[in-house]
Amino acid sequence: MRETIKKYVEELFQAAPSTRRARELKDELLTNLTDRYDDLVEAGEDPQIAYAKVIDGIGDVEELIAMLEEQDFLNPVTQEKQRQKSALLVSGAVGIYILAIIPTFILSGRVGTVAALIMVAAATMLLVYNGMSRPRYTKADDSLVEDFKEWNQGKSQRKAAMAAIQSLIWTIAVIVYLLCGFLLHLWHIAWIVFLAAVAAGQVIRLLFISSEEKTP
Amino acid sequence: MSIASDLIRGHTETIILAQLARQDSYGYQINKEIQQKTQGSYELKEATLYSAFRRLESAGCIHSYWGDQATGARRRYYSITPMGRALLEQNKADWEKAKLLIDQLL
Repeated sequence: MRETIKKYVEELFQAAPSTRRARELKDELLTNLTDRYDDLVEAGEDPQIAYAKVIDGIGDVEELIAMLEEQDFLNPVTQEKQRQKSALLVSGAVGIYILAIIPTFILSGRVGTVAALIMVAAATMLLVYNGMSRPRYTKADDSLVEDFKEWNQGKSQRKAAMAAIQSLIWTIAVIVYLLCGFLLHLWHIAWIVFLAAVAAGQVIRLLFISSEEKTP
Repeated sequence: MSIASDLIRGHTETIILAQLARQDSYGYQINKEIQQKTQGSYELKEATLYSAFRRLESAGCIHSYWGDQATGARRRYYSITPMGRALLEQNKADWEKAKLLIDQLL
């Protein structure tokens, strides 16, 4: 009878993909079914009836097999790839921000400033693209676990949004400083703009914290 | 038992987390304990159990590992994570609130 159980499970998983996850699930199911069968027989159940009970207790595996095929957003491997791509975009953007100062030294006057601003725009584009291309987790069903996953993702998205806004504030501060310096020659007081950036950054943080308090 | 099964199925994950909060376990053992605790009146289908396991694991609430068996075959064990414990507490609190509300209304 134990062989029959094994054959039954093999048949069930015929339509499943030949992935490691599918094989592991098949093994797990087989081990548990066999355990149950052994327990029933040990308790004195007739082998045929035990077999029927075990098979009956399986339920609908179709949904389970379908789950094996769907793309796993929270799979650590895909998450790692996502993280690497994100890291590349962010580090590239920061690099371009810093390099954006160079045109103001090499090219004269307005041309230099325009070139610098173009590079800053490019860097900001990278950051925005990075922020928006995170996989949005949509609930697979109404279970409590799906609710939890969605909340968890929402929290990290808010953190990412805050980080993006902070970098934007600082970018604007540098732009304002350079403009004041090159166009208005106000180097001696334009540095105040950086203090303003710090204050603005703190205000944004407070706003985010208070909005976190509101959402349960 | 069919109506009650639908009502309970939404709590499958919480039930599993409660079992794992006591000790690490595997599929059949969890099912057996549930049957014993409910004196045989509630039995989880294997498919329901495994769906719940996958969902909980991909949410980071439980962690699985392979244990060695005396007979040579490997068995998949599950253990609860700190996030799982937090979810369990939250769900238990939600259930108490829901229970109170429905008892008041019915």
